Amino acid sequence: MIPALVYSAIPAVIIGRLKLPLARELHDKVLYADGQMNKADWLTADAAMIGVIGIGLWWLDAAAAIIISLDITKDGVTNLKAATGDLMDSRPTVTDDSQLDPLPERLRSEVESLEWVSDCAVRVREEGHVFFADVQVVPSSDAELAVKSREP
Amino acid sequence: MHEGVKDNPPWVELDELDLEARRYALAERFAAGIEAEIEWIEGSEEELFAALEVHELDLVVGGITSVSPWASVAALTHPYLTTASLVAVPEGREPPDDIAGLEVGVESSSELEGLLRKTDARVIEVEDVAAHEGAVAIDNYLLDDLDVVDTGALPFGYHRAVNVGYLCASLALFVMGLFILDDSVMKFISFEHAHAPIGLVQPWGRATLAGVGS
Repeated sequence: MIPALVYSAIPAVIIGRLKLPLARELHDKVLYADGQMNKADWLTADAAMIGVIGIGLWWLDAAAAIIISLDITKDGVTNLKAATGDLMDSRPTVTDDSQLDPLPERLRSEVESLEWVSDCAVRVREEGHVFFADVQVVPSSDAELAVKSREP
Repeated sequence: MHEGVKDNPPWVELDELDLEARRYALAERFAAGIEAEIEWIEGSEEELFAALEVHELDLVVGGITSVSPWASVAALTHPYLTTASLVAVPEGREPPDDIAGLEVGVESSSELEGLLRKTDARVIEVEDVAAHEGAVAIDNYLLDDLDVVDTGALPFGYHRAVNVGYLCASLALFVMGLFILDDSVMKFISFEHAHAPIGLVQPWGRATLAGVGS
C-alpha cells in the first residue's frame, strides 16, 4: 500500500515543481494553478500514507485529511479571488498573485520622463499572457502638438 | 553580431525613415544590453533563416508570423501583434448578420481570396480593396486606413481565454478542497474506525480527476 502511494505521489511532486517556474516565465496563471493542483495531489497521497501508518490511531487519517483539505481550499479561494479580479480588470499582479506587477509603474515613469509630457495617467489590464495599457497624457505645450506627439 | 533584415511591409519597411523604427530600436537596445555591435545584413526570409541555421547570422528581424515554417530552426519572440482576417463593410453601413451571398471584394490572387472562396460569400476580385465600394475582406490592422468597421465578433482577440481557463481551474481547486474537507470531517465524526485505512483512502482515489494519476 505504502509503496503504491509513494509511486503515485512522485510524478505529481516532480511535475508540479517543474510547472511553477515555467508558469512565472510565461505569466501563465492557469499553469500556476495546475501546479498547485499537483501539490494537492501529492498532499492527499501523503494523507493516505499517514492513514495507513496510523492503523492503530483510527482518527489520524481523517485529521490529516482535514488539515490538507483546508490548505487546498485556501489555495482555491486565493486563486478564485485572483481569477475573478482578472476578469474585472483589477490591477495586474505577478503570476503567483502575491504582489502587484511592477510594469504599470514602470510604464508611467517612462512616459512621464518624455520631454513633451507634463503629466500622465496609466491603467493596465491583464488579458491572459499579455497586458493592455491605456495611457493618457497632458502635453507640456500645445504648440506643434501634431509634430511633437509623433516623436518617440 | 550579425543581424538579418527582411523587407516585409507593413511590418518592417526598409526605407530610410523606417530603419529607425521601433523594431530596429528594439534590436539595437538588445544588442546594447549584451554589449554587441550590430552589422545589418539584408536578404529574403529564405536566405536569412538558412544563414541563421548555420550560425552565420545571430538574429533575424522582420514580419515573421508565429506559424512560420522557420520556427523549427529558430526561436521566435512572443507575437507582438495578432491579426485576423475579416469581412468589413464601409463606415455607416449596417453590418450584415451573415456573409453568405454577400458580395465581398478581395485582393486578387491573395491568400485571403482563397480563404474567402471556401465561404458562401460571392467573391469579387479587385486590384485595390481601398478603392472598392462595398464589403471587403481584409486583415484587421488595415481597418482604420480603409474607413471600414469590423464585423467580427471578437475584436479584442482570444487573450481573455486564458482568464476563463484560470477561473475554471481555480474553481476546480476550490471545489476539490471543499469536497475533501466535507468527506474527511464526516469520516472524523462518524467513528468508522473498523475499516479505517482502506475506507478512508477511497476519496483520495477520486482526486485523480484533478491531475496526474494518484
